[in-house]
Amino acid sequence: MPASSEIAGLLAVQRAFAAAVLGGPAAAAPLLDQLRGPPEQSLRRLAAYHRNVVGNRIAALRATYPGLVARLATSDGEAAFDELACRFALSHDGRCGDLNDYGEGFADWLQSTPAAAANPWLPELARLEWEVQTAWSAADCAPFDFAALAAVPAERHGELRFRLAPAFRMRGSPWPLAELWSGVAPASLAPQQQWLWVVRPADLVNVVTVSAAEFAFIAALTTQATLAEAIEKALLTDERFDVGNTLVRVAGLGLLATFTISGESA
Amino acid sequence: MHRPLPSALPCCAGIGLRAPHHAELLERRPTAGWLEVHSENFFACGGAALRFLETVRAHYPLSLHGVGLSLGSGDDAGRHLAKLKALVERVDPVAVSEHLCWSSVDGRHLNDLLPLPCSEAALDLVCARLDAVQNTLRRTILVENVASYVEFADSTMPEWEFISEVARRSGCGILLDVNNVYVSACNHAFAARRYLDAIPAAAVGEIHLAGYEHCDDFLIDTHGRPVQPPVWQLYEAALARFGPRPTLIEWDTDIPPLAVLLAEAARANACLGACHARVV
Repeated sequence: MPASSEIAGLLAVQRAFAAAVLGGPAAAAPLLDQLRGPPEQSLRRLAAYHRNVVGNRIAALRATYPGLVARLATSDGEAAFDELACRFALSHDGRCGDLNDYGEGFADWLQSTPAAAANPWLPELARLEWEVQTAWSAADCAPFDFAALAAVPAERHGELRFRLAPAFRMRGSPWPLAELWSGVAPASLAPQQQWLWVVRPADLVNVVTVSAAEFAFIAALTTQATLAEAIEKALLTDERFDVGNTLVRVAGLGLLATFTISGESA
Repeated sequence: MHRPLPSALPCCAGIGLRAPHHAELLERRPTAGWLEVHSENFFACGGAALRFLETVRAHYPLSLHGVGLSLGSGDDAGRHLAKLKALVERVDPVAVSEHLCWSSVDGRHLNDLLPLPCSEAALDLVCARLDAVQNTLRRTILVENVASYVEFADSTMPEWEFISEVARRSGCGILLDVNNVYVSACNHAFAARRYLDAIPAAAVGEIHLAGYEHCDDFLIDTHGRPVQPPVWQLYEAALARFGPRPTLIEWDTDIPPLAVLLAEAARANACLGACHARVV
């Protein structure tokens, strides 16, 4: 490694460069002395880096939030998403070298914008789309061992604890997010409580609506509750909860990864 | 010390594989010498993207080309490097490459290929990081020259000397982007041939070709147009200087139909064929 004083000089140049690229001409003065060529030429050329950085960030956000892009284009015009994305890009640096992760804080930021005051569903849809993105890239898991589950004596079923697939996500919202996400929500949007699972059967990420009881059931399983405890939570939410149908649905959507019983893994 | 070059890529033209062409590539399986993808687009822990890449790898020689390791940065790249290592181990690419640039400082990531001063301090830093990268990946990688729009007063050597010294000290190979050489030569008023003449031929393991665009009084490396005539000419000069080298057609913005990339690759193959004939 170079001496710390040499590194300090290099890092100082890079800090000045970053400030100039992100802050524009007003922030470029400390860098201009360290560049060759006339300042006016350097400013024009630094503007190209500015356009690249901001443009790359906006493109990353568009790729992560296609539902928001489409919905805002319909409701607020084609440029609406890019205007929001540009404001975010100018005020938020990337946190890692993978631009695919750039949009992580977008939903929380949206929450504080006037756009969200006018369209309260905006940050809700953004949170769902971020979960879809993370589900897409989540780890795989081996197929669930249904034969081992079938071998568990019926009287011990209540003691089962399940670990869910790494790609599984869940979200409750007072807005019709499933319709917004799939682009079929009506132009005039009314609040509608929804309980959603984000699932990835056979590699394709999908958003499915479930009942409040099904949501409560799976929420309990994610906290390592036993099957009996999860059923109790679901029945408290809705006494008509059908555990048999729900388990069939859970299995069909590939939500189950492994199970344990009395501390033994399957 | 130069270790044996890492690039076991076939000495023909390949194309940069981007998302709009994924489905068509698997459906048609067109003839392409090899494929290159951006490593970061496959940093997933699992899922369809990785399975797609494994399928691609089963049918084509594959190169992983990184854009986010920030070799010229003082920031910790451990997490990024761990993801790259996992991907390399999973798909066993024929080649791995990165850019000679920086993109983060103080944990502030700009996610762009930013130029380095060609100084001893930058040289030491890059070589130290390359050692860590190559030791972690347990393989030699290729390092690509980037196009630049500004030059630093702190630079104490020309870029061709800088990248040659990086290769000599670290043992990495050079991924020579001929378009970037041309763009930087125009922007900084040096002779592109001089750059080629100074690069050690044995270190060049791959060549990139792409399109540039004019912006005011300088050129920008946009990867959004066909390879331009002066770059084709410089490519032929590079082949004459270095001999035939695996060559990639890159296109990252305004991506055209796959057939357009394949046609550009065919033109590069014709240049390579002529070069092979001269060598024989």
